[in-house]
Amino acid sequence: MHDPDFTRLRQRLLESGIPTRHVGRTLDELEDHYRDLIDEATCDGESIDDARAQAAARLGDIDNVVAGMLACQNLRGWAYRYPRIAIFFYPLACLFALPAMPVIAGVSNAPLVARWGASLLLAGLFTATMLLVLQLSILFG
Amino acid sequence: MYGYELVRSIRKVTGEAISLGEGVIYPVLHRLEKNGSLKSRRKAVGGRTRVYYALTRKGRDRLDKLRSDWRRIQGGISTALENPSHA
Repeated sequence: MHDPDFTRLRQRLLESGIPTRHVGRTLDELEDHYRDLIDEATCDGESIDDARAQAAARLGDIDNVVAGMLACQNLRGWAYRYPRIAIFFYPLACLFALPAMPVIAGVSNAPLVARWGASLLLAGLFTATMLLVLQLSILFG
Repeated sequence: MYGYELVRSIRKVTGEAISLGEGVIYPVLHRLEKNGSLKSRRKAVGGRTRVYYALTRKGRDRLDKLRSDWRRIQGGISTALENPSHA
């Protein structure tokens, strides 16, 4: 008997439009419940393999969990509940957010940008120095 | 109570008459929380973080209504079964 496929459950819930935070919480609760069922069975004297098999059987089919989550529209993200609004809203939001993106990217990667700027400055100074030396050598050479 | 405790409690009070895949309790709990009948809080217990559920005022009102509806239906069915000539 295999453990319940929590990875597949996560994937199916995410694909169905359940927000990531909510999927995480659901999986935490299910995994915790599964551990409690194993503990209960082992306390009753079952071997660990039997305990896991019993726990998986009692937890039930994960497809039923997915169906239960999808039966409640409120548990799905708003873009899945109102796809027509999302189709208009997301491009519009991107359009307004686009000019701010370089600033946001710069702020969030400030050390990288600073290193990159310093490298460019050094390279510029080096090139200018070389050109100056070349110029002087032509003039006074 | 958290999910596992709730399922154990259901099994106990129903004399294990209601048997379900225990995982399906979570979509139900989340739905009830979303519509305001339940509230939840996370609590760390023995190295695990559990989600505890409690009834809200709205949930209690809803439960009272469901209970009275159920008693009315149950009464009607009992009456019909006890007097087959009415059926």
